[in-house]
Amino acid sequence: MSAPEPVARRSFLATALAGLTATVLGPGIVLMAFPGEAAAAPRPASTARRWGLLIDLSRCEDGCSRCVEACSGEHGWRTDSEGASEPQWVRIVHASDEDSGRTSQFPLMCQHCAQPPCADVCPTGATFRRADGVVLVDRHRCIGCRYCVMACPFGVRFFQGDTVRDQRPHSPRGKGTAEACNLCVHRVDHGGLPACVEACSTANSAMIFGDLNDPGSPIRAALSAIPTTRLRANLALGQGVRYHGL
Amino acid sequence: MGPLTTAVAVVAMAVFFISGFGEGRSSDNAQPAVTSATTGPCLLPAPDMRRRHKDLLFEERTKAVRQGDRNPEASLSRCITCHAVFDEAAQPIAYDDERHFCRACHLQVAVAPDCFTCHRSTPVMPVTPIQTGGTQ
Repeated sequence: MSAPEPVARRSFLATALAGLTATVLGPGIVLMAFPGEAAAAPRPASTARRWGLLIDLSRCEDGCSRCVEACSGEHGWRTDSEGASEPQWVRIVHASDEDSGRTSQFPLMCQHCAQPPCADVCPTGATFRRADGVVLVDRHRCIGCRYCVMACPFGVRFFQGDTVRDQRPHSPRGKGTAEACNLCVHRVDHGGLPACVEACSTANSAMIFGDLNDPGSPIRAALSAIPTTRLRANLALGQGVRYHGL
Repeated sequence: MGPLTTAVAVVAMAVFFISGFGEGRSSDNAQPAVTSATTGPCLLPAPDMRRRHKDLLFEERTKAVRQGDRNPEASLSRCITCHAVFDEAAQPIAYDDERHFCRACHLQVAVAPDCFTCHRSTPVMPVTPIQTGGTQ
């Protein structure tokens, strides 16, 4: 048994304030906001949280591509293109073991490393790691050098070489910039789930999204209950994405 | 040169600059034809928005992208929604068209913003009316 961690003054105050907000409009009239509603207000990225994803391959169904379709619909990249240059923020990878012949499939997207090689090599600081662990491309600074595309050990960064039209308002994408899974920060910042996780939850619930720093979160409960692994763990990149049954 | 001569010269130059340059500037500085926003109010009074919109956009974009500190009321997509210009078929006009709200002024002052190489320049239809808490 380990002693419970002391609650930092700042996080205690934040929790207490987030728990209940009351506004006095006038004598006898008080507007109350309860935690459920407060969670929907956008929250800035904070080191208090570390977003992570657990993909349970024992529940991931062969032939299912709901996560891919959901991501494509959410961010506007095409799945029908055979061109090598078309980004695939998430794709289904088929792997086979040379000795046993066992085959498996798993969804592969940006692994949101704690020490991201893509951010290390970025000459302009466009690729960066947000306080809550999400690795993003700041396209305002991206010069399209593609170093990050080459540096990523997982091949999940892409260069947009074509003019993009009719982008989603929440997901700007443009010619001459790098792009990758952004863990749907536009949803997560408002307390929502990434589109792939939401789509998966309607079928097999193979994806669990949550705060790795929160001992009470479902993802922490799952991580302590089942064995999980990171891709290419020998690189010690501290990815936020973990797999079970790989 | 005596003080009186100097004073006369200064007054003459002042009259020349105020009258001549003033008139020239007012005729060259005609406002472009800009379609007013269909909804409102805006974040700041119109003269302040004309002068400061770039600074506001830069500040909000850095906070939103790098810190995840989002302010939907001051986002570019909110600007685009309120300031949408519609064509004869009631479809929103994209930045490619010279009637686009941003383009009308930027064309006149010969400044090419690169926002719309990545950002969408039209709202997603149907547009829902927005009321903000700003001034004006």
